[in-house]
Amino acid sequence: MMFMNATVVLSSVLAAPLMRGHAYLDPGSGSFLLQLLLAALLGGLFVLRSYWGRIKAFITKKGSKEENEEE
Amino acid sequence: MIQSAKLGASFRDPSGFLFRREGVLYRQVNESYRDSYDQLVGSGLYQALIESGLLVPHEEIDVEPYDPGPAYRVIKPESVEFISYPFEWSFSQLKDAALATLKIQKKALEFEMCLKDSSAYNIQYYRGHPVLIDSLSFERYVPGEPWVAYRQFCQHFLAPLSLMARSDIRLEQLLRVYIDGVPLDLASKLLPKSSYLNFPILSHIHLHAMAQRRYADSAVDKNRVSGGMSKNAFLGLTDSLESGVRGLNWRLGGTEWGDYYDQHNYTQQGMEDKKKIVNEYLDQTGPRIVWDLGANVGRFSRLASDRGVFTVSFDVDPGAVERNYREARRRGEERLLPLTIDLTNPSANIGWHNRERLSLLDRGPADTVMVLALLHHLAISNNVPLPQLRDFFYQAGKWLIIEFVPKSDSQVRKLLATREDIFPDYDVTGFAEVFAERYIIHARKRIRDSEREIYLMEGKD
Repeated sequence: MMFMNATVVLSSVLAAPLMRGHAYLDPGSGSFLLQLLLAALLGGLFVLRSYWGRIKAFITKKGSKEENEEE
Repeated sequence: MIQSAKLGASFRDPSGFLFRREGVLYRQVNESYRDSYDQLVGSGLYQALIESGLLVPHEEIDVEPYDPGPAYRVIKPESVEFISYPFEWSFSQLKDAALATLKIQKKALEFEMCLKDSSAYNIQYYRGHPVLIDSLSFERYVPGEPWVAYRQFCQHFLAPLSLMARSDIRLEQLLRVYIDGVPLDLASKLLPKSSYLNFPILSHIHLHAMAQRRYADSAVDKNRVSGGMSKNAFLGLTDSLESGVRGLNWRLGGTEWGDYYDQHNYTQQGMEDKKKIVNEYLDQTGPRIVWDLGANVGRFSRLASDRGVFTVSFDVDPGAVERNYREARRRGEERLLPLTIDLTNPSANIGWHNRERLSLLDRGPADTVMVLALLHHLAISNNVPLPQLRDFFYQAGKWLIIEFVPKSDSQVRKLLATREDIFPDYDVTGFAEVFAERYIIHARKRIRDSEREIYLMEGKD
């Protein structure tokens, strides 16, 4: 199912060979497209995780600050 | 005329190549790689990687390039004492190499660069740690573009590690056959169904294999997908691969960290005496490089490495090598390299023109070879006649510290219990006669409380 949707979204990008600056590896069409498919999800998770890290750091910092103030 | 030779493994990437001249290893950087090379050094990435111990240091050097036509400059990388291959690493060695690769990728992104390849063969164990040996593996990061080496990372690292952790440790040996990593459709087929529940394995192996199959005959128009992958997505992909690798573990059977040595054939004093003899012989040979064949978890290898001698500690048992590596890592040992080798079928010359990955013997010789409590396994379990054993050891190194285990020893009796004794020449006299043909026997010492003897021999020229 996932790949049927992917086909619709990604079929528009299938056409010419991939060319890059120094790349000598063939990234492979499937590997290339899978990354694009995963991109939104993994990018989103990455952003969430870094925000969560910041929130945690904020709370921990606040906590330790309060502790310090109590001393 | 100065002799130079291009290395057989260094031909795929047009950015440059390795060559050897008068025994010194150099890397030619080609003009086509100038911008990336200058960015690597100029951006501070090179320095950052050296400080983190993730890249083998090199110096820019003024020597004649091997091929002046396309040359930009020549660099001289610090030499790695022994080139080892992923199929010789233990599980944790391959895992640490994978994590080092991802760390390098993240570090590169901080400097607006990324890895243009992620071959496990570009990682070597240097001073006890996995480091990248190819300074030409970087290119400018282009926002929006997917990672060109993603498939290679999955094939070289994630697939074999998943198979080793989730199916069978021996599946690492697929890397010997598939020189560019385990094909993902094969990995997907061999992994248990339960691995579909692991998100990184599901996405980077199973779905990846499906995508490869589905788009096998399609070409991608890069211009139309440009901008399709944000930097966060790029970092997210790296993170996901990292959590996938971190999540894979190999639980060693039995009581972990229990004494792995079969001590039945030595008393406590016998074991101490054996160490003393080996130490004396090491003093006499003063080696720079030792190969310990059949090293088990490396107890005797450490007699050499603890004195600063670079020691490769080979064993056939992946469990023993894993324990050996974990111990080396725990102790921060820089002079010991544990590797898995089956001496009855040691690594051969493989890859393009049979020159890409070298055989075990072509990566030698060592100065001193140690063969302790091993000879009977090769001579009796594997039916290798003594002259053939002698010739192999002779080629492996100049000096030989070898333990002779006679037929009366309980371990040999056990090996002979279930089979006919077809080894009339396997006795201490026959052994000494055969070896004396190619070696000068400098010393022989009996291990206390045992019938075993350790010989010190020097190969005749």
